[in-house]
Amino acid sequence: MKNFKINMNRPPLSDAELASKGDFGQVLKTYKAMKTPFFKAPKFWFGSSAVLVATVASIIIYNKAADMETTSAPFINPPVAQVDIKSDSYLIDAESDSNITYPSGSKIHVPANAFTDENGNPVKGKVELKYREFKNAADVFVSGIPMTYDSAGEQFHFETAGMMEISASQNGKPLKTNPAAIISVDMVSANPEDKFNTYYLDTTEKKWKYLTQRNFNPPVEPMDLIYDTLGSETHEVTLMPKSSKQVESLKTSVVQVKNEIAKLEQQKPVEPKKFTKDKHRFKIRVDEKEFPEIAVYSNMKFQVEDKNYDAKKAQILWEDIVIKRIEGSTNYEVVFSNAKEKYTVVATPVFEDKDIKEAQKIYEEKYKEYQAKLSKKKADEARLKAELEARAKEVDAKIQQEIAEMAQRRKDYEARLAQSDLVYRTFQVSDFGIWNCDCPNRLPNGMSVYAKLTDASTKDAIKIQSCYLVEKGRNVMFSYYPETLKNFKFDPTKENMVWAVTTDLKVAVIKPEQFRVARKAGGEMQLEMNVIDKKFNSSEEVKEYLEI
Amino acid sequence: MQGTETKTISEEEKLILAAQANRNHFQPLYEKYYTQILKFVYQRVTTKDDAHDITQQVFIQAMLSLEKYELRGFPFSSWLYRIAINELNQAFRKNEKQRGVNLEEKHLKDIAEEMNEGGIEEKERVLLDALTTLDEEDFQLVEMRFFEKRAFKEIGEILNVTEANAKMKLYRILDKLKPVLEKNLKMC
Repeated sequence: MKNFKINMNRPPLSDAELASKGDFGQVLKTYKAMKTPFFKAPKFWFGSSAVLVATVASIIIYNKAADMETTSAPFINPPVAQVDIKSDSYLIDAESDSNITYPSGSKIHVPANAFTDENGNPVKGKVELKYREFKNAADVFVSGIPMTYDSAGEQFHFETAGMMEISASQNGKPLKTNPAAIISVDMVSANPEDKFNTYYLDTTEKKWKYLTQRNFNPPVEPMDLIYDTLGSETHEVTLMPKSSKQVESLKTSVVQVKNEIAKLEQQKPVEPKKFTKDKHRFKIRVDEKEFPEIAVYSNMKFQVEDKNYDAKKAQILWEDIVIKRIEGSTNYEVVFSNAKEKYTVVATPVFEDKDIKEAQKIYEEKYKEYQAKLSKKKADEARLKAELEARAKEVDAKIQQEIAEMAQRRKDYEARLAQSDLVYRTFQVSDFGIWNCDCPNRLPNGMSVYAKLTDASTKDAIKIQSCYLVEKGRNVMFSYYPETLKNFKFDPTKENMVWAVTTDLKVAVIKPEQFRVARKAGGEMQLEMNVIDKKFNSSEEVKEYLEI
Repeated sequence: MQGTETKTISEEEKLILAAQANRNHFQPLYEKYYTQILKFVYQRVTTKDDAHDITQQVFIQAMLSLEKYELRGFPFSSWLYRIAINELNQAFRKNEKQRGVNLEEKHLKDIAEEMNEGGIEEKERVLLDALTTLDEEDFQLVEMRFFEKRAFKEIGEILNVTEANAKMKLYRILDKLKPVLEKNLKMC
């Protein structure tokens, strides 16, 4: 069908509208008019609403959509303090197209002008784009992202084929997407099955939203992926560790202090010199701001150094005099001018015999001051340069570390590539946030017990916030809470493990081999959990414990 | 009379014969069927004005073609519905009116259950998208059966097919929808 409009639960016609029966008189009149031969019949339009209706294909979807899903809790709640899945950060130009290849091989296509500020205005200049992926149950567990989904009053548990988070900011301010230039992400997924839907995590309404956009693409050609990941497109994209901002600021400070030194060097006092007999001299007052190096002397004169000096010029009344220091010398160019002519001489500052001693004294004093100022500035410059060098090394080390990490992740993916079929799953990023390729699962079939969780070492019951049944080899976490442990369902044919978060925020784990032999009696199952009393420093450490 | 088939003429047939003879006598038929034709049309358009306009046009068309109606044993109402479908199709083709798909959530649930796909609301939502990919003729059948709860016999009369044929067509449409549904929404 084309050009249709969907109305859900539209009110029916009222009794009054149904009872009106229309106007038979009008119908009969129209019939009679139409019965008349066409060439005699007036063109007949009836009803005020017979005006051509301009139709617009639009779909009003689900008035009651909000009622169809219910909020699931808890929301984003990383279970391990200060440990989360790390984002990669890219610095891109907002006004150009950028193509980024994430270490997994996923591709982020950012068209020009893809960002707006909070008021919807297009953003210019450099933008920081952050991106991270969650590939397996352990990634999801560490992230604390809720993976339950309520539909029609029934709770489902997501099996993910890959989830990602994308965001952007400029000068620390979060940006929004531009509907006119949509970012797309081709996320590499290790699950080649075409059974996953697209969901977006609405952090305002605190629930997953099902989207009709299709994410499945044909399988990735292994060689293409290797080529893409090795030849990572970094056009207009640079890795940006946080400390690189400090380096930029230090570079500016070094340039600043260099300029100050250059300015100071121009102010170096000129050593007093005795006049030369037979050479012409004249006295003019100089601006102390413009020529501090000579303005300090009260009885200084300029001595003309030109061989072809015309003494008659001294008799002319000059209206304007402009002085300019000749670069790299202690001489000055002095330009005399009036309405009729202009006369230029090269002159050097000199002193009469009676003034030279005093001038020498001033020079020594001012030179000391100058040296002290210069030494201080040079010390500042040296300090800043050293700091810059240290920071630059640090940044370089961080970039090298990130490159090494990326290379390692690429290596891991390439290794997996050899064993599995990969597909790209495409997201059209209409909003920044968390996007997911998921398939809702009901709780496993098989056994249903009352799960009693105890500490394996103390044998005491443990209080949990939440716990997750994970089947090895599947990216699904079946979520249980204290009140749902009474109906703990699992498939005994699978390799089951349970990860729990205790009320005092510790991670507790039971591995498949322990789960398999857990005591079951009278409808109860004793799950002896290994409570991990350890401070984790990275998500990798957590994942090692979870054995994923 | 020997050899002559006798047939009782119903009250409605009398009204039809009278109207065929003189359209001024069409009014009782108009009043009898106006409400159900209006409801039928309103189900398929987006505004009340469009529904009233097309309903009026249906009756004008019925009066223009009344001679062609034969007392063949299928209800006059079905004949009017056929005219309504033609008028609606004409209005949609010319883009004079917008096709309305008016339904309640329970209708989708019914279809999903009929397809053994019930139980998850997402399926019902995807089902709605899938339904709109059907062509007008197929959609009409689904609409009559599930949104208007018409019997296959009546659907057959309106669409000028046998009851069995209407049933078979509907189940073929539902079979056609299944892969579309599965392609767009998968459950583990």
